[in-house]
Amino acid sequence: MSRAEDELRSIARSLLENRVVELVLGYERYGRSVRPCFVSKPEEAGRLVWSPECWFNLAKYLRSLRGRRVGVVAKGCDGRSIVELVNENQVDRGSIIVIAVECTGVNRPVKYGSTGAASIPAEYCGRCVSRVSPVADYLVKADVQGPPEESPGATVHASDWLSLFAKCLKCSACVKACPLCYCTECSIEGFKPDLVHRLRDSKELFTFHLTRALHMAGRCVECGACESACPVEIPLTRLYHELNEWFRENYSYVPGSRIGEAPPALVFKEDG
Amino acid sequence: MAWKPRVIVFTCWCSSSGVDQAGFEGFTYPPNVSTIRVPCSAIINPSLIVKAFEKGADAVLVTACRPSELRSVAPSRITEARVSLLRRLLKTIGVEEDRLRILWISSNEGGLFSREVSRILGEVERLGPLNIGGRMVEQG
Repeated sequence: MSRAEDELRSIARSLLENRVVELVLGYERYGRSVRPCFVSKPEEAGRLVWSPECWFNLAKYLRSLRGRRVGVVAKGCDGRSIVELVNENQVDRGSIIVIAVECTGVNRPVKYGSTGAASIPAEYCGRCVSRVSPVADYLVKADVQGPPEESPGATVHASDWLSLFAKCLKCSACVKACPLCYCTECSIEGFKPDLVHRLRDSKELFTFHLTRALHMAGRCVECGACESACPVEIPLTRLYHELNEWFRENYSYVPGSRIGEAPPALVFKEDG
Repeated sequence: MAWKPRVIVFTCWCSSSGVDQAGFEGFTYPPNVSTIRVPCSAIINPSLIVKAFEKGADAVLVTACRPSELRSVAPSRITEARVSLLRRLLKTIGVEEDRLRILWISSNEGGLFSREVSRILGEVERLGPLNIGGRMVEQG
C-alpha cells in the first residue's frame, strides 16, 4: 500500500468518524482494475485505493447527491469539473468536502478483449492544465514526484473525424460518463421530430457528435472520461479541446479554473 | 444533369423582408436557395444548422440584422459568436468552414442579398458537394 493511499484512507476515516460527511466517494479495487465506490462507514475506509487506473470522474455523482454532505476524492480534472458544476449552480460547494489527490496522469483503460500493454498513459493527460484540483479541503501528495509520463500523441487528421464518428455505436457512454452532461432532458431528444433518432443512423451520428461538441464547448474540463468510457475509442477530448481553444482565444476563459467565473456561453451580456 | 449546390438560408425577421425586397426590386437569386424565416437570428439553434448539413445542404447561410442597427446588439453578437464557433468546429472535423456564413442584411437590402447569395453559391460550387453520408464511412 502506498503512502498516498494510506493518507487518503485516514482522511476518509476521520471524516466519517467525526460525521463531517455522510459518504465518501472514492475508488476501490475491482478485478485487475478499479471501480467507483461509496464509503459510508468509517471501518470501510480501507476499501479506498488510489492508482493510475482511476480515470473515472467522480464529480458525475455529485449532482444526484445534492443536499447530502459528501466527501469526494478528486484528481485535478475532477476538481475542475466540481468548479464548473458549482459555477453552473448544479452543486453546492458548501456541502462537498474535496479530498484532492495529486495526479500523475491516468492510464488508458484496458478494453475487454484487448491484448495491448496493460498501462499506456492516457493521451489527454498530456494536455492537462493542472494536476491538482483548484478547490481542495484536503490535499494528498503524489508518491512519485517529477514530470508526468509523456504519452504517445497520435495525431488525428481533420479528414479522419468523419470516419471516426462513423465508428460510433451511439451507446451514450460518453454522455453517461461526462460530469457536465447533466441535463435531465437531453436536447438531442427534445426536438419534435427528434434531432437524432434513437436508432443508430450513420448520418445522424454527425449531428449527434457535433451537437455534443457544441454543448461541451467552453465547459469541457478535458477530464477524458468520455474518451476512456468510449468502447470504440473515439478521441473525443481532442475535439472538445479544439473548441475550448476557441473560447480561450476569444474570451480568455479556461473551464473550471475559478469558482464564481461562469462559462461565457452561459451568460448574457448586453454588449455581446 | 449538372450538380447544383443546395443552400439553406436562415433569415431573421428583418432580413427576411430584405429577401422579399429582392423580389420587389426585381433582383433574382438562384432557385436552389431555400430560405427559412425565424423570429430572430439568435433563436437559431446551432444543432439545426448541423442538421441542415446532415440532411444534404451544401452550404448554410445565416442572415441577421447589422449590430449597428439594433436597439440591443446582443442578438446579432450571439449569432456571430455561434457561427464563428461552429465554423471552428467544422474546420476541426475537416469540413470546409466556408460552407457556413453569416450575412448582415437589413430589410431594405434586397440587392445586396441577391448579389451576396450568387457570389457565395459560386464559391460553394467550386467546393463541390458536401456529402456527409458518403464521407462518413468507417475505415479499417
